[in-house]
Amino acid sequence: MARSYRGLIVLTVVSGMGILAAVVLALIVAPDAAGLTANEMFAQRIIYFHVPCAWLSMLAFGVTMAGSIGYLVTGRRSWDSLAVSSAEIGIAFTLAAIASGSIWAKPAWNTWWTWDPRLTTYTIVLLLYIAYFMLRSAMEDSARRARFAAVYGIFAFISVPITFFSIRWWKTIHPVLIANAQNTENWGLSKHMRPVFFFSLAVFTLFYVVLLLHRLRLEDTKEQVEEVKEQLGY
Amino acid sequence: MTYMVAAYLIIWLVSFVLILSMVFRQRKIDQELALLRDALQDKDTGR
Repeated sequence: MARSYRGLIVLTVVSGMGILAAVVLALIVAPDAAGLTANEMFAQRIIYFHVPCAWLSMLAFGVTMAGSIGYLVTGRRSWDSLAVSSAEIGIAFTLAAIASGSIWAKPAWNTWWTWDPRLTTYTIVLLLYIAYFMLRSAMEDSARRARFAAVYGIFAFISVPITFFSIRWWKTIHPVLIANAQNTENWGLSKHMRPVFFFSLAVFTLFYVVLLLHRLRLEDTKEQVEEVKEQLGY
Repeated sequence: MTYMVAAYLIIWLVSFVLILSMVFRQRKIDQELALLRDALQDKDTGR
């Protein structure tokens, strides 16, 4: 077994244990939010995983943009592999964030869905990255596919900061959990909730790294298959 | 409580499906690579 693969297995186990610890902390250790009904209080604990899912998806799309820039600058296929791998993980966690947010909205807002700026912009992000894969699948030539996808990946990322700042720029019912630098007192979380919240964020970041490394391994094997096919004259 | 459980289930379901799909794709492509390498070896040895 290669040393790098053994390292990846160790990282996977550490990430799994971290997630288990985050579940225990979020469901048992984290204090109840004040001034909520019983239903809302349970639902509020969704944030320890809903926000990290959203963070992970935004991080993933940021890495897609970085990979796209890298590909356009260097022309190396590994950058395209990084972009596509990260976009796939990003889509999965955008779906998880939207679905878990919708479930939280029912007890908190008394509706599963509303066209609030955050929800609307986040849906646009999801659709843009689904289109990223549609664009890729529409092209046979790998160099052309990588080039077009790279340009698209850079422009699609514009939607991500718009989504992040939508709750600060526009009138919205979506809570703002993380205070901005000018107003450090205006946190949506009490100081006792923050350690668990940031632990979950850290664990999800590690989870993303692990998923990305596994997904890159898949891309690497695909590349090897193509090389052997070329040698065989297929 | 139901909402909390449902939200956590959805998050884990999405993660599980993503991991499972990566595992299956990796397994499939590993098998394909092994077959192709066998074919290449056969070609090189002139069998």
